[in-house]
Amino acid sequence: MISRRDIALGGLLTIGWLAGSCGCGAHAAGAPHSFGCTLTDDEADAVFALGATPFGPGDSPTIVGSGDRELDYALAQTLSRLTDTWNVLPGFAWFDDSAAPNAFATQRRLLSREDGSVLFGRRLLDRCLKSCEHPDVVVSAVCAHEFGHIVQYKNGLSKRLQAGQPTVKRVELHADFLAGYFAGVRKLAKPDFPAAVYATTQYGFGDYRSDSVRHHGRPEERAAAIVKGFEVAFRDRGSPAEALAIGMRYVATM
Amino acid sequence: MRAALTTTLCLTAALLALSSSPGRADFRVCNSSGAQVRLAFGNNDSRFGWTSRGWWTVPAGGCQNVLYGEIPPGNYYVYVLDTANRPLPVPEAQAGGTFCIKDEAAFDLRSSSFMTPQNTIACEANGLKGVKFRAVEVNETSPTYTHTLVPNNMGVSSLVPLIKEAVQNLERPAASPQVVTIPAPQGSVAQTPRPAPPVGTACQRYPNLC
Repeated sequence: MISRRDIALGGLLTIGWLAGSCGCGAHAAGAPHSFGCTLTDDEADAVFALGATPFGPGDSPTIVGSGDRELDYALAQTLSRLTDTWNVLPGFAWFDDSAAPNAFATQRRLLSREDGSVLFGRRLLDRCLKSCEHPDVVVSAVCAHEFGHIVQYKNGLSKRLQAGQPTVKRVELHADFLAGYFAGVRKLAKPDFPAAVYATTQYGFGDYRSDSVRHHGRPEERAAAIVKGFEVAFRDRGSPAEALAIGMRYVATM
Repeated sequence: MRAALTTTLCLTAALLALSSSPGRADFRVCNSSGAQVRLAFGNNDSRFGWTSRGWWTVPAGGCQNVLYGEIPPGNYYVYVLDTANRPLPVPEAQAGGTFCIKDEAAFDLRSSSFMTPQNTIACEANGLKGVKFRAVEVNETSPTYTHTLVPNNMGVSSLVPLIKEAVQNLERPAASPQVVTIPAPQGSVAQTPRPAPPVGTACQRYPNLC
Protein backbone atom coordinates (compact mmCIF):
# COMPACT_ATOMS: atom_id res chain seq x y z
CA MET A 1 0.00 0.00 0.00
CA ILE A 2 1.32 3.39 -0.93
CA SER A 3 0.90 5.97 1.77
CA ARG A 4 0.57 9.68 1.31
CA ARG A 5 4.03 10.04 2.70
CA ASP A 6 5.37 7.63 0.13
CA ILE A 7 3.76 9.70 -2.58
CA ALA A 8 5.32 12.84 -1.26
CA LEU A 9 8.73 11.30 -0.94
CA GLY A 10 8.32 9.87 -4.40
CA GLY A 11 7.65 13.37 -5.57
CA LEU A 12 10.79 14.50 -3.88
CA LEU A 13 12.72 11.84 -5.66
CA THR A 14 11.33 13.08 -8.89
CA ILE A 15 14.22 15.21 -9.82
CA GLY A 16 16.82 13.40 -7.85
CA TRP A 17 18.18 12.22 -11.14
CA LEU A 18 17.90 15.71 -12.41
CA ALA A 19 20.42 16.99 -9.97
CA GLY A 20 23.11 14.99 -11.65
CA SER A 21 22.45 16.91 -14.78
CA CYS A 22 23.23 20.14 -13.09
CA GLY A 23 26.65 18.94 -12.16
CA CYS A 24 29.65 19.76 -14.23
CA GLY A 25 29.90 17.46 -17.17
CA ALA A 26 27.08 15.27 -16.00
CA HIS A 27 24.88 14.82 -18.96
CA ALA A 28 24.45 11.16 -18.69
CA ALA A 29 20.85 10.62 -19.23
CA GLY A 30 19.68 7.74 -17.53
CA ALA A 31 18.51 7.98 -14.25
CA PRO A 32 15.21 7.26 -13.66
CA HIS A 33 12.92 7.80 -10.80
CA SER A 34 10.67 10.59 -11.73
CA PHE A 35 6.99 11.16 -11.32
CA GLY A 36 7.14 14.18 -13.51
CA CYS A 37 7.94 17.49 -11.99
CA THR A 38 4.36 18.33 -11.23
CA LEU A 39 2.56 17.44 -8.05
CA THR A 40 -1.07 16.73 -7.44
CA ASP A 41 -2.78 18.84 -4.80
CA ASP A 42 -2.50 16.04 -2.28
CA GLU A 43 1.16 15.59 -2.95
CA ALA A 44 1.78 19.29 -2.66
CA ASP A 45 -0.10 19.42 0.62
CA ALA A 46 1.94 16.58 1.92
CA VAL A 47 5.21 18.12 0.90
CA PHE A 48 4.35 21.28 2.73
CA ALA A 49 2.49 19.65 5.53
CA LEU A 50 -0.44 21.93 4.96
CA GLY A 51 -2.93 19.12 5.13
CA ALA A 52 -3.35 16.39 7.66
CA THR A 53 -0.17 14.56 6.88
CA PRO A 54 1.86 12.12 8.86
CA PHE A 55 4.93 14.32 8.66
CA GLY A 56 6.61 15.27 11.84
CA PRO A 57 8.67 18.43 12.11
CA GLY A 58 11.79 16.54 11.22
CA ASP A 59 10.31 14.96 8.13
CA SER A 60 8.61 17.79 6.45
CA PRO A 61 10.44 19.85 3.86
CA THR A 62 10.04 23.48 4.72
CA ILE A 63 10.40 26.76 2.95
CA VAL A 64 13.86 28.25 3.36
CA GLY A 65 15.78 31.12 1.95
CA SER A 66 18.14 30.63 -0.96
CA GLY A 67 21.00 31.76 1.24
CA ASP A 68 22.07 34.21 -1.40
CA ARG A 69 20.41 37.59 -1.36
CA GLU A 70 21.93 38.56 -4.65
CA LEU A 71 20.70 35.42 -6.33
CA ASP A 72 17.20 36.16 -5.03
CA TYR A 73 17.43 39.63 -6.44
CA ALA A 74 18.70 38.53 -9.84
CA LEU A 75 16.32 35.61 -10.12
CA ALA A 76 13.38 37.88 -9.36
CA GLN A 77 14.15 39.62 -12.64
CA THR A 78 13.87 36.37 -14.56
CA LEU A 79 10.72 35.34 -12.72
CA SER A 80 9.24 38.70 -13.53
CA ARG A 81 9.95 38.15 -17.21
CA LEU A 82 8.36 34.73 -17.04
CA THR A 83 5.22 36.21 -15.52
CA ASP A 84 5.17 38.88 -18.20
CA THR A 85 5.71 36.42 -21.02
CA TRP A 86 3.05 33.97 -19.95
CA ASN A 87 0.71 36.20 -17.99
CA VAL A 88 0.80 33.87 -15.02
CA LEU A 89 1.57 34.71 -11.44
CA PRO A 90 2.50 31.71 -9.33
CA GLY A 91 4.22 31.85 -5.99
CA PHE A 92 7.87 30.90 -5.95
CA ALA A 93 9.90 29.66 -3.02
CA TRP A 94 12.96 27.74 -2.10
CA PHE A 95 12.46 24.69 0.02
CA ASP A 96 14.52 22.24 1.96
CA ASP A 97 15.08 19.29 -0.35
CA SER A 98 17.79 17.72 1.71
CA ALA A 99 16.12 14.34 1.19
CA ALA A 100 16.75 14.57 -2.54
CA PRO A 101 17.32 17.43 -4.95
CA ASN A 102 14.05 18.52 -6.46
CA ALA A 103 11.97 21.23 -8.06
CA PHE A 104 8.34 21.16 -9.07
CA ALA A 105 5.20 23.02 -9.94
CA THR A 106 1.78 22.60 -8.41
CA GLN A 107 -1.64 24.16 -8.90
CA ARG A 108 -1.88 24.55 -5.15
CA ARG A 109 -1.81 28.13 -3.92
CA LEU A 110 0.81 27.48 -1.32
CA LEU A 111 2.16 30.99 -1.43
CA SER A 112 -0.90 33.19 -1.80
CA ARG A 113 -0.51 33.66 -5.51
CA GLU A 114 -3.36 32.85 -7.81
CA ASP A 115 -1.67 30.60 -10.32
CA GLY A 116 -0.23 27.88 -8.15
CA SER A 117 3.32 27.54 -6.93
CA VAL A 118 6.81 26.75 -8.11
CA LEU A 119 9.14 25.24 -5.57
CA PHE A 120 12.87 24.97 -6.08
CA GLY A 121 14.99 22.90 -3.72
CA ARG A 122 18.07 24.38 -2.11
CA ARG A 123 20.11 21.28 -2.74
CA LEU A 124 19.12 21.25 -6.37
CA LEU A 125 20.05 24.91 -6.54
CA ASP A 126 23.46 24.15 -5.14
CA ARG A 127 24.00 21.47 -7.74
CA CYS A 128 22.88 23.72 -10.55
CA LEU A 129 25.19 26.49 -9.43
CA LYS A 130 28.10 24.07 -9.75
CA SER A 131 27.47 23.69 -13.45
CA CYS A 132 30.51 24.53 -15.52
CA GLU A 133 28.80 26.63 -18.12
CA HIS A 134 26.51 29.52 -17.24
CA PRO A 135 25.10 28.13 -13.99
CA ASP A 136 22.68 31.02 -13.77
CA VAL A 137 21.16 29.94 -17.07
CA VAL A 138 20.76 26.40 -15.76
CA VAL A 139 18.76 27.80 -12.84
CA SER A 140 16.77 29.88 -15.29
CA ALA A 141 16.07 26.84 -17.47
CA VAL A 142 14.69 24.86 -14.54
CA CYS A 143 12.45 27.78 -13.58
CA ALA A 144 11.25 28.24 -17.15
CA HIS A 145 10.35 24.57 -17.39
CA GLU A 146 8.39 24.70 -14.13
CA PHE A 147 6.63 27.85 -15.25
CA GLY A 148 5.70 25.90 -18.35
CA HIS A 149 3.70 23.59 -16.15
CA ILE A 150 2.01 26.55 -14.49
CA VAL A 151 1.06 27.83 -17.95
CA GLN A 152 -0.35 24.41 -18.77
CA TYR A 153 -2.45 24.46 -15.62
CA LYS A 154 -3.77 27.92 -16.22
CA ASN A 155 -4.72 27.19 -19.80
CA GLY A 156 -6.26 23.83 -19.10
CA LEU A 157 -3.66 22.01 -21.15
CA SER A 158 -2.34 19.53 -18.61
CA LYS A 159 -5.24 17.12 -18.84
CA ARG A 160 -5.42 17.46 -22.60
CA LEU A 161 -1.74 16.65 -22.89
CA GLN A 162 -1.99 13.72 -20.55
CA ALA A 163 -5.22 12.27 -21.93
CA GLY A 164 -4.73 8.70 -23.04
CA GLN A 165 -0.98 8.84 -22.59
CA PRO A 166 0.90 6.05 -20.88
CA THR A 167 3.62 8.42 -19.67
CA VAL A 168 4.06 12.07 -18.70
CA LYS A 169 6.28 12.61 -21.72
CA ARG A 170 3.98 14.94 -23.67
CA VAL A 171 3.39 17.10 -20.63
CA GLU A 172 7.10 17.38 -19.98
CA LEU A 173 8.11 18.00 -23.58
CA HIS A 174 5.45 20.69 -23.87
CA ALA A 175 6.90 22.37 -20.79
CA ASP A 176 10.32 22.09 -22.44
CA PHE A 177 8.91 23.67 -25.59
CA LEU A 178 7.58 26.60 -23.57
CA ALA A 179 10.92 26.94 -21.81
CA GLY A 180 12.60 27.05 -25.21
CA TYR A 181 10.21 29.78 -26.29
CA PHE A 182 11.20 31.79 -23.24
CA ALA A 183 14.87 31.27 -24.12
CA GLY A 184 14.11 32.73 -27.53
CA VAL A 185 12.38 35.72 -25.99
CA ARG A 186 15.41 36.29 -23.81
CA LYS A 187 17.81 36.03 -26.71
CA LEU A 188 15.81 38.56 -28.70
CA ALA A 189 16.11 40.99 -25.83
CA LYS A 190 19.66 40.06 -24.88
CA PRO A 191 21.62 38.82 -27.89
CA ASP A 192 24.41 37.30 -25.82
CA PHE A 193 21.98 35.21 -23.79
CA PRO A 194 23.35 31.64 -23.99
CA ALA A 195 20.09 29.99 -24.96
CA ALA A 196 21.85 26.77 -25.93
CA VAL A 197 22.32 26.06 -22.23
CA TYR A 198 18.56 25.52 -22.01
CA ALA A 199 18.86 22.75 -24.55
CA THR A 200 21.88 21.14 -22.95
CA THR A 201 20.24 21.36 -19.54
CA GLN A 202 17.08 19.61 -20.66
CA TYR A 203 19.15 17.15 -22.69
CA GLY A 204 20.74 16.15 -19.43
CA PHE A 205 17.33 15.60 -17.87
CA GLY A 206 16.23 13.11 -20.48
CA ASP A 207 15.78 9.44 -19.80
CA TYR A 208 15.27 6.24 -21.71
CA ARG A 209 12.63 4.63 -19.51
CA SER A 210 9.90 4.69 -22.09
CA ASP A 211 8.15 1.86 -20.31
CA SER A 212 7.71 3.94 -17.18
CA VAL A 213 4.83 6.30 -16.55
CA ARG A 214 7.48 8.73 -15.37
CA HIS A 215 9.26 8.84 -18.70
CA HIS A 216 10.00 12.49 -19.52
CA GLY A 217 11.38 12.00 -23.00
CA ARG A 218 14.72 10.94 -24.36
CA PRO A 219 17.60 13.42 -24.08
CA GLU A 220 17.49 14.33 -27.76
CA GLU A 221 13.70 14.76 -27.59
CA ARG A 222 13.98 17.15 -24.68
CA ALA A 223 16.68 19.20 -26.37
CA ALA A 224 14.72 19.21 -29.62
CA ALA A 225 11.61 20.50 -27.82
CA ILE A 226 13.68 23.37 -26.46
CA VAL A 227 14.99 24.14 -29.94
CA LYS A 228 11.50 24.11 -31.47
CA GLY A 229 10.15 26.46 -28.85
CA PHE A 230 13.16 28.69 -29.25
CA GLU A 231 12.56 28.93 -32.99
CA VAL A 232 8.98 30.03 -32.53
CA ALA A 233 10.14 33.00 -30.50
CA PHE A 234 13.48 33.85 -32.02
CA ARG A 235 13.06 32.99 -35.69
CA ASP A 236 9.30 33.26 -36.20
CA ARG A 237 8.52 35.99 -33.67
CA GLY A 238 5.46 34.06 -32.61
CA SER A 239 3.33 35.28 -29.73
CA PRO A 240 3.03 33.32 -26.49
CA ALA A 241 -0.46 32.20 -27.51
CA GLU A 242 0.92 30.91 -30.77
CA ALA A 243 3.70 29.13 -28.92
CA LEU A 244 1.16 27.34 -26.75
CA ALA A 245 -0.75 26.11 -29.78
CA ILE A 246 2.31 25.19 -31.82
CA GLY A 247 3.72 23.37 -28.83
CA MET A 248 0.54 21.32 -28.49
CA ARG A 249 0.73 20.31 -32.12
CA TYR A 250 4.43 19.56 -31.80
CA VAL A 251 4.14 17.18 -28.88
CA ALA A 252 1.12 15.51 -30.43
CA THR A 253 3.53 14.03 -32.93
CA MET A 254 5.62 12.44 -30.20
CA MET B 1 23.22 4.60 -37.31
CA ARG B 2 22.82 7.08 -40.13
CA ALA B 3 19.57 8.27 -38.60
CA ALA B 4 21.27 8.79 -35.26
CA LEU B 5 24.08 10.70 -36.93
CA THR B 6 21.59 12.84 -38.80
CA THR B 7 19.71 13.56 -35.61
CA THR B 8 22.93 14.51 -33.88
CA LEU B 9 23.98 16.79 -36.71
CA CYS B 10 20.57 18.47 -36.81
CA LEU B 11 20.63 18.99 -33.10
CA THR B 12 24.13 20.37 -33.26
CA ALA B 13 23.13 22.78 -35.99
CA ALA B 14 20.12 23.84 -33.99
CA LEU B 15 22.22 24.40 -30.91
CA LEU B 16 24.60 26.50 -32.94
CA ALA B 17 21.62 28.52 -34.07
CA LEU B 18 20.65 29.02 -30.46
CA SER B 19 24.12 30.25 -29.72
CA SER B 20 24.26 32.79 -32.49
CA SER B 21 23.47 36.42 -32.06
CA PRO B 22 20.53 37.67 -34.04
CA GLY B 23 22.39 40.40 -35.88
CA ARG B 24 19.09 42.16 -36.42
CA ALA B 25 17.96 45.72 -36.31
CA ASP B 26 15.23 46.92 -34.08
CA PHE B 27 12.83 49.64 -33.08
CA ARG B 28 13.63 50.72 -29.59
CA VAL B 29 12.11 53.20 -27.22
CA CYS B 30 14.44 54.91 -24.78
CA ASN B 31 13.08 56.59 -21.71
CA SER B 32 14.71 59.92 -20.94
CA SER B 33 11.58 61.26 -19.30
CA GLY B 34 13.20 61.01 -15.89
CA ALA B 35 10.72 58.52 -14.53
CA GLN B 36 9.58 54.98 -15.06
CA VAL B 37 6.84 54.50 -17.64
CA ARG B 38 4.67 51.74 -18.99
CA LEU B 39 4.82 51.34 -22.72
CA ALA B 40 2.61 49.82 -25.41
CA PHE B 41 3.50 49.68 -29.07
CA GLY B 42 1.50 49.50 -32.27
CA ASN B 43 2.64 48.75 -35.79
CA ASN B 44 1.49 47.35 -39.10
CA ASP B 45 2.88 43.86 -38.88
CA SER B 46 3.66 42.23 -42.21
CA ARG B 47 1.89 39.05 -41.14
CA PHE B 48 -0.88 40.18 -38.85
CA GLY B 49 -1.74 43.70 -39.93
CA TRP B 50 -2.18 46.42 -37.36
CA THR B 51 -1.12 45.03 -34.03
CA SER B 52 -0.87 46.45 -30.52
CA ARG B 53 1.27 44.95 -27.78
CA GLY B 54 2.06 45.79 -24.18
CA TRP B 55 3.01 46.27 -21.50
CA TRP B 56 6.66 46.94 -21.07
CA THR B 57 7.95 48.75 -18.04
CA VAL B 58 10.80 51.02 -19.01
CA PRO B 59 12.77 52.45 -16.12
CA ALA B 60 14.12 55.95 -16.24
CA GLY B 61 17.19 55.92 -18.43
CA GLY B 62 16.33 52.51 -19.84
CA CYS B 63 15.56 51.37 -23.35
CA GLN B 64 13.21 48.71 -24.61
CA ASN B 65 13.26 46.92 -27.94
CA VAL B 66 9.71 46.59 -29.18
CA LEU B 67 10.22 45.39 -32.74
CA TYR B 68 12.96 43.39 -34.41
CA GLY B 69 14.08 43.33 -37.99
CA GLU B 70 14.59 46.06 -40.54
CA ILE B 71 12.35 49.03 -39.88
CA PRO B 72 10.60 50.13 -43.07
CA PRO B 73 9.30 53.69 -43.45
CA GLY B 74 5.85 54.38 -42.11
CA ASN B 75 3.98 55.20 -38.98
CA TYR B 76 4.63 53.39 -35.73
CA TYR B 77 2.73 54.09 -32.57
CA VAL B 78 3.56 54.31 -28.89
CA TYR B 79 1.27 54.58 -25.91
CA VAL B 80 2.97 55.65 -22.73
CA LEU B 81 1.59 55.80 -19.20
CA ASP B 82 3.24 57.35 -16.20
CA THR B 83 2.91 55.63 -12.85
CA ALA B 84 -0.28 57.56 -12.18
CA ASN B 85 -1.65 55.98 -15.38
CA ARG B 86 -1.67 59.29 -17.21
CA PRO B 87 -1.09 58.84 -20.94
CA LEU B 88 1.45 60.58 -23.09
CA PRO B 89 -0.46 63.40 -24.82
CA VAL B 90 -1.37 62.84 -28.44
CA PRO B 91 -1.53 65.85 -30.77
CA GLU B 92 -5.11 66.76 -31.49
CA ALA B 93 -4.32 67.00 -35.16
CA GLN B 94 -3.13 63.42 -35.33
CA ALA B 95 -5.31 61.27 -37.52
CA GLY B 96 -5.61 57.59 -36.80
CA GLY B 97 -3.64 55.69 -34.24
CA THR B 98 -6.49 54.06 -32.34
CA PHE B 99 -5.70 50.63 -30.99
CA CYS B 100 -7.26 48.25 -28.51
CA ILE B 101 -5.45 47.63 -25.24
CA LYS B 102 -5.98 45.85 -21.97
CA ASP B 103 -5.79 48.11 -18.98
CA GLU B 104 -3.72 45.89 -16.76
CA ALA B 105 -2.86 42.53 -18.27
CA ALA B 106 -0.30 41.95 -20.97
CA PHE B 107 -1.78 41.96 -24.46
CA ASP B 108 -0.91 41.21 -28.07
CA LEU B 109 -3.90 42.18 -30.18
CA ARG B 110 -4.59 42.25 -33.89
CA SER B 111 -6.83 45.15 -34.76
CA SER B 112 -8.44 43.21 -37.60
CA SER B 113 -10.10 41.01 -35.01
CA PHE B 114 -12.12 43.95 -33.75
CA MET B 115 -13.04 45.74 -36.93
CA THR B 116 -16.70 46.34 -37.69
CA PRO B 117 -18.27 46.24 -41.16
CA GLN B 118 -18.18 50.02 -40.99
CA ASN B 119 -14.40 49.84 -40.71
CA THR B 120 -14.29 51.14 -37.16
CA ILE B 121 -12.51 49.40 -34.35
CA ALA B 122 -14.83 48.02 -31.65
CA CYS B 123 -12.61 47.55 -28.63
CA GLU B 124 -15.17 48.00 -25.87
CA ALA B 125 -17.53 45.51 -27.45
CA ASN B 126 -14.79 42.96 -27.02
CA GLY B 127 -14.03 43.79 -23.42
CA LEU B 128 -11.06 45.93 -24.32
CA LYS B 129 -10.29 49.61 -24.21
CA GLY B 130 -9.76 51.77 -27.28
CA VAL B 131 -7.09 54.44 -26.95
CA LYS B 132 -5.17 56.66 -29.26
CA PHE B 133 -1.47 55.94 -29.57
CA ARG B 134 1.00 58.64 -30.47
CA ALA B 135 2.38 58.35 -33.99
CA VAL B 136 6.10 58.05 -34.57
CA GLU B 137 6.97 58.61 -38.19
CA VAL B 138 9.92 56.79 -39.72
CA ASN B 139 10.83 58.44 -42.99
CA GLU B 140 13.32 56.05 -44.48
CA THR B 141 14.23 52.43 -44.17
CA SER B 142 16.36 52.14 -41.13
CA PRO B 143 18.40 49.32 -39.70
CA THR B 144 17.70 50.67 -36.26
CA TYR B 145 15.30 53.31 -35.09
CA THR B 146 15.30 54.77 -31.60
CA HIS B 147 12.42 56.81 -30.29
CA THR B 148 13.27 58.78 -27.17
CA LEU B 149 10.75 59.84 -24.56
CA VAL B 150 11.72 63.19 -23.11
CA PRO B 151 10.25 65.16 -20.24
CA ASN B 152 8.33 67.46 -22.54
CA ASN B 153 6.51 64.44 -23.87
CA MET B 154 5.46 63.51 -20.40
CA GLY B 155 4.44 66.84 -18.96
CA VAL B 156 6.76 68.34 -16.40
CA SER B 157 4.16 68.41 -13.65
CA SER B 158 3.97 64.66 -13.66
CA LEU B 159 7.66 64.15 -13.21
CA VAL B 160 8.27 65.00 -9.59
CA PRO B 161 6.48 62.02 -8.03
CA LEU B 162 7.85 59.76 -10.73
CA ILE B 163 11.42 60.77 -10.06
CA LYS B 164 10.86 60.24 -6.38
CA GLU B 165 9.55 56.76 -7.04
CA ALA B 166 12.40 55.95 -9.38
CA VAL B 167 14.91 56.89 -6.73
CA GLN B 168 13.13 54.69 -4.22
CA ASN B 169 13.19 51.82 -6.67
CA LEU B 170 16.93 52.02 -6.91
CA GLU B 171 17.30 50.86 -3.36
CA ARG B 172 18.24 47.24 -2.95
CA PRO B 173 15.97 44.89 -1.00
CA ALA B 174 16.79 45.28 2.67
CA ALA B 175 16.67 41.65 3.59
CA SER B 176 16.71 38.32 1.88
CA PRO B 177 13.17 37.04 1.85
CA GLN B 178 12.56 33.38 2.31
CA VAL B 179 10.08 33.56 -0.50
CA VAL B 180 11.21 35.29 -3.64
CA THR B 181 8.55 37.76 -4.57
CA ILE B 182 7.68 37.57 -8.21
CA PRO B 183 6.65 40.96 -9.44
CA ALA B 184 3.18 40.93 -10.93
CA PRO B 185 2.84 40.98 -14.71
CA GLN B 186 3.60 44.35 -16.13
CA GLY B 187 -0.07 45.04 -16.55
CA SER B 188 -0.40 45.48 -12.82
CA VAL B 189 3.03 46.89 -12.27
CA ALA B 190 1.63 49.89 -10.48
CA GLN B 191 0.80 47.63 -7.57
CA THR B 192 3.98 45.57 -7.61
CA PRO B 193 6.82 47.25 -9.43
CA ARG B 194 9.36 45.21 -11.34
CA PRO B 195 12.63 44.97 -9.45
CA ALA B 196 14.81 47.99 -9.78
CA PRO B 197 17.42 48.03 -12.53
CA PRO B 198 20.52 45.97 -11.85
CA VAL B 199 22.33 47.39 -8.90
CA GLY B 200 25.51 46.29 -7.21
CA THR B 201 26.96 42.88 -7.79
CA ALA B 202 23.82 40.76 -8.13
CA CYS B 203 23.65 41.21 -11.87
CA GLN B 204 27.39 40.94 -12.24
CA ARG B 205 27.33 37.57 -10.56
CA TYR B 206 24.22 36.39 -12.38
CA PRO B 207 24.14 38.36 -15.62
CA ASN B 208 21.77 36.05 -17.40
CA LEU B 209 19.13 36.23 -14.71
CA CYS B 210 18.96 40.01 -14.84
